[in-house]
Amino acid sequence: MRSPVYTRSALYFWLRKVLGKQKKRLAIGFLLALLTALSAIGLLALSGWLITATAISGLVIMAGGGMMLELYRPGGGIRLFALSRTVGRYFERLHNHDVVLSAIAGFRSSLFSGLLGLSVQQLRNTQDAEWLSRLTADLDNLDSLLLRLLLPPVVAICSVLLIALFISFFSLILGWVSGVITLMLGIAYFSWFTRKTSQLSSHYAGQINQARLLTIEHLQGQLELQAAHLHHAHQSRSRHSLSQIGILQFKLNQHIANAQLIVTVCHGLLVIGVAIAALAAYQHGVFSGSVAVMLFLAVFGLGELLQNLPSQLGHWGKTRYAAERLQPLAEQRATQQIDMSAVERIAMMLAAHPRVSSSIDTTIRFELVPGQCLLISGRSGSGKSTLANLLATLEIADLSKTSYQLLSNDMPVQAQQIASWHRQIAYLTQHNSILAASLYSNLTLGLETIDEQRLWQVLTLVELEQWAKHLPNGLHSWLGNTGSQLSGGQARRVCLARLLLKKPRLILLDEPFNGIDAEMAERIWKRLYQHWNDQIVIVLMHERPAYFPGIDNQQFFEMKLDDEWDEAYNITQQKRLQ
Amino acid sequence: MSAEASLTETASASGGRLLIKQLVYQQQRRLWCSVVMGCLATLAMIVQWYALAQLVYSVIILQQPLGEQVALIIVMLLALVLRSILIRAQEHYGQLASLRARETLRKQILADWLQLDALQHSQRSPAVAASQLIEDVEAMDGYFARFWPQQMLAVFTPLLIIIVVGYYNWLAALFLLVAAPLIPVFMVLVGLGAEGVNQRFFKQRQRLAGHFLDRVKHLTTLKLFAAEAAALAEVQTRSQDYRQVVMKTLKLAFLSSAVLEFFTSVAIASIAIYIGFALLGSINWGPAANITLLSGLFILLLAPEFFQPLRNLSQFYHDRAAALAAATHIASELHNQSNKFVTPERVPEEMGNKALSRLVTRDLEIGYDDSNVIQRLLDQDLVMGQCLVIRGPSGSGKTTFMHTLAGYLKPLSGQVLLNNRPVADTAIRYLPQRPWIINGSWQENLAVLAPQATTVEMRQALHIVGLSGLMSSRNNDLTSKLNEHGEGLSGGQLQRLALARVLLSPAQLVLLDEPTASLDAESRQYVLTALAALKARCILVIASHDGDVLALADQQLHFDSFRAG
Repeated sequence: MRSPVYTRSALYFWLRKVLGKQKKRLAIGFLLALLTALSAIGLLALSGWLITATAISGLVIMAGGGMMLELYRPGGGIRLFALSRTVGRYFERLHNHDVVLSAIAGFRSSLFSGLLGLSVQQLRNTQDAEWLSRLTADLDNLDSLLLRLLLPPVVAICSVLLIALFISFFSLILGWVSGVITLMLGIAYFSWFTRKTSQLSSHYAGQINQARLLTIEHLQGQLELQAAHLHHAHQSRSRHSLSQIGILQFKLNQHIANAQLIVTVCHGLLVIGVAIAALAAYQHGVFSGSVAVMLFLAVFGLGELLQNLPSQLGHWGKTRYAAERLQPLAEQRATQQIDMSAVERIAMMLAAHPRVSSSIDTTIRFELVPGQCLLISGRSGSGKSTLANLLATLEIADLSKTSYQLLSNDMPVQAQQIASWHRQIAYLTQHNSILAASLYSNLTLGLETIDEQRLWQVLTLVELEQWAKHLPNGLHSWLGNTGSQLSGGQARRVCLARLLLKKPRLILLDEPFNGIDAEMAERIWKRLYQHWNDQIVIVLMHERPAYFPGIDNQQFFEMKLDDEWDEAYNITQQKRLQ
Repeated sequence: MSAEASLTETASASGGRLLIKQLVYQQQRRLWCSVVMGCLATLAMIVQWYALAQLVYSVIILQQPLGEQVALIIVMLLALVLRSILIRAQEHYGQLASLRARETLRKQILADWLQLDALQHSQRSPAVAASQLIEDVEAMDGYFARFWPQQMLAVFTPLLIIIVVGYYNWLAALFLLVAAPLIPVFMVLVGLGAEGVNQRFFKQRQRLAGHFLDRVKHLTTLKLFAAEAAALAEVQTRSQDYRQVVMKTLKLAFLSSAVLEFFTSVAIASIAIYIGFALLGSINWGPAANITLLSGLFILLLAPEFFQPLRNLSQFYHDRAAALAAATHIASELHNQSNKFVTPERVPEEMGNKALSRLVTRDLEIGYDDSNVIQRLLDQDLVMGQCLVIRGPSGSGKTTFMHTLAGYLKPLSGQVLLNNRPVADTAIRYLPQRPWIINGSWQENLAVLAPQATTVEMRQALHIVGLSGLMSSRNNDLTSKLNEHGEGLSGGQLQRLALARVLLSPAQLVLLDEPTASLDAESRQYVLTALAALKARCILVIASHDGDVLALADQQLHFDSFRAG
């Protein structure tokens, strides 16, 4: 459990982001909200005054007395309030939603820039669907910060103060007493309520995560559970956790409903109290009957503001929970990066990596210079992709268990040099990574200057030129899960083309021809390989294709990551210089 | 084509509506209780404001001393308390209906899951399925707890109020009716507007969230291509664009509720002015002559209450949209159970007659559909104590064969029989390539698939797979968490733990998929020992290319990557 000091600052952390940029707009939003609230109250109070005043003077007139009641000004006031309430409400909602949307846009970009600061190692967790759905849910929950947690209580407090001030014009004591009682009780009760529900809703959010984990576990174990006929029995575990969710949520809502009950009763008592006091004051001749009615109707009008507070403040816990979880992500700062010299030689050594089976009992080594190509082959599960990720520094070896070294120009590649290392390598990962964006944006990712002619050249190299020309919008057609569907082979070639537009020193290809038929793979490989005279090329494949260079090629090496690892596979300096 | 797409869209949306309708039907007693409480609360409210108006009238017009009004004040206080309690009861029943509806729905989904076989499960993302069970079901809360009762109250409450107002002054009642011209029509208008806007808003929001998530998902790629700055700028412009688009929609959306507000305000204002002039004696026609401060104030106090239920309803409208979206999602998944996997009743695991255990395959053809037979097999016949090892390159169908033996996959032709019955009738053990490990203690991990095992047996099994030393080095022995102090287990150790689980269970048939793949030398040795121990007690089927595993085999099958058919 985190300390409450920290939790308060988590909400404040995000609030500061809004306050910093939009102080003025927030103030306008607040004034509009206050204007609307006061218009609603004023409408009721003035109407009450009007009908009481007319009733009294009606009696006087009937009794034959002469009495002039000026009706046009209060009538106009009523019409004005009716209008300002409607118009105020409209603009208040419009303005405040705009402020919230800007705030959320700000939250998004600070969160994203924080995520960019995460190390690649940490980023690996972000692939997982559960993490992603939690991130969206948390971002959505931050919505409540302004419209539910900040503005309504502030508007309610100000309205209470203004009404108390208004009553004090007629009766100082009544104004003070009713104002102080309302504020004290309100603040005391709502802070207790907020603390109470925020604990509950933290539990609730925690229970949801717990149930989610249990459910995912249950689903992942189906192969084993169903074989053993234990899936019924095991389901009861997640069922229990799920019913806890319902119960906690029910409790939370009951708290909110109880708070509404208490607020309604207290507000009712306040109205009755003020009504009795005002009528008593009238009988003592402190003010007229119409003023008495006006005063308690003003207090009556406050109800709408107060009754919504419990459900709004009930969001406190959820919002706090989200704020807490997002804060560390948004606070992430990228480590200071230093440059490294252009790669002229790389060397790698790996031993005892749990996921590279060949390295468990022996050591894998190789050394390569530009112009050389290494094929690493091995069946699936032999650790090829792990090896590629290690080389691309997407995965950092646990040096307490594994011994691993990656040298560039005889110097170890350091954590602060990862950005620079990434600029020098082109890594085709095993899984295709197609962004939801146009083909053009997908291809030119990270390029500073874009030469359209070169783009078409590259597309020709991977045999996508015709396909791209026939897309509905050519290069600007939309790809990714919301756009046109790519076949596995097309996606592979788009990724390959993207990589070719980069000018790297080391090319790292993990199963480059996945999903591409053998003939096309051969054509593409031959076209590409002849251009790669000045780069180090490492290809990882489950088996050696026939069209790869033969053993007579001095610049081509091969390693097999098999269970029986052969020391002879290691490519050492001597061997390379042969 | 788009017409077709929209047709299926409406079809699934109607599935969601139907689902909600069923749930409402099941909860109708609680829901109607909630509505009745709400109506009674309205009556209490009417009494409360009548008493207040009466009090003001007696004191100001009739000039009675305040001290004589105690009875009135008590009635007012009682009505106040009663009204609040009734509202609380209204919410209680609504929430109870919601709780039960969600419980029912979860049970329905879980029961549906039991109908799916393991392979159908493995085709779905567990995270997505779990969020359907949890978030989607939670999203139904507002509909039952608030929206449904409120949509009834939005009819009944104004009706009650208009009757009372009409009794005192039919013209004022007419004002209210004119302000809300035929409440149902008005509701439909508000509803349609809100629904359309909600849908557009929802889509825009999803699009923005989708873009953001897409970029987060591809952060690694963005880093590899040094495109971080461009992506950040893109996220910013996207959010700003979204803001502009949404503001355009909101302008319209808020206008519809502004109209509601406008009618409310105008009705209150005109009633106030009408009553004022009537009291003054300036209006001499209609019911104006009979108006007093009592009825005037009473009507004025009731006027805002007339509109309140409608305003609440429009506030709760997003609850309906959220519930409908979630229900549509759930309903579309619930209908995906076309090929039902018949789960047999749990048969008690027979311990006796094990000597008779016999696994037979006849004319077996395996694969996922008839046009693509992955392997045709020679007939196999195995009895207890025998071991079958399947070799072959990856993709040759070893795992498919395992799934067929386990009964997850129907053979394309031929049959698999364990003791002359389909394999699915008997509890067996299947250990896939990546063992299933739960986030819990050593004991929980063993008990989850060997519920009858005692702790003594557990220790014994852990000893056989060489994990007892590691386990007892942890603080809480068997009840230690697996990943205590972040000291996780290696892949080899997890594999051994999963094997210990198999050792603990008395199944007649054990299927193991690559039990020694990518294991360190030590783990491999322990696994081989455990396999030898296991072999004597059951029929063992192993997919493996390990030479030492092959040594255990009484029969062998070699799968070529050749695909028949």
